[in-house]
Amino acid sequence: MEERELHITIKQCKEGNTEAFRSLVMAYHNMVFSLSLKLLCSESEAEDAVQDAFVSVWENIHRYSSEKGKFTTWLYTIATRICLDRLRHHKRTIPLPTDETTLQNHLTGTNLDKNLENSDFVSIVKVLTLGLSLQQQLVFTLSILENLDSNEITAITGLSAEKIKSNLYVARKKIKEELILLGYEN
Amino acid sequence: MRIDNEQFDQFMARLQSQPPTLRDTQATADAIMLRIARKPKRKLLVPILPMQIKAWHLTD
Repeated sequence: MEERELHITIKQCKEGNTEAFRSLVMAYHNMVFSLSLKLLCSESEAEDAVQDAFVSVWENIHRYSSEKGKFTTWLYTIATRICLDRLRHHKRTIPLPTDETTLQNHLTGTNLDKNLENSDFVSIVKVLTLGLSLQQQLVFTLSILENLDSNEITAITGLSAEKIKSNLYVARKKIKEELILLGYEN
Repeated sequence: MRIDNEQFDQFMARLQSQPPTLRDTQATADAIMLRIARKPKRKLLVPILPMQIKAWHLTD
């Protein structure tokens, strides 16, 4: 959504306009779903997180001001908190051999030209992030998978630039170690 | 099998460029709208005018 259109839509949402809010949902639900799926590694959990995030946006839209930062950063912050809350209450699922095969096929094998399905993402992220702490997984997801810059990650997570850098360094190292364990040479 | 840094970075770039997407966007939007309809914002949409207050007072 363009800046001006977004500004008008948010203003209408603050006035209680539900049709404007629907257009906001339609414009950004995939962004929230993408982050949620990568963090939660479950399609149904990610769909629930999208709903929770937008209900929270509706209830708190009066708190948002463009002077405080980009709308997408604010939305990422809400979605991240909801996903972290869910992760704290659920045990992490251990990847299965089929998840490793999916990663292998997309990394070096037969599926290089094939589009990634949601289930492929779940398998790949499950394997790659297996050895990471929650904080490392979060920084890896926001930085590498969502391609956000350090300032935006600081705004979303509250972590300092140094902390982000160190978490990212360790995450990349552990992921490469995980790949070596799976039989890849580095 | 061997994976070098460049191959690893290319793979990560591929994960970035093909983000996952919601299967049924309309159903998700409908579910969200239903939830917010059940929890309306605490906002007085129709302002009460002083004249109305006076009228109510007179009917008591």
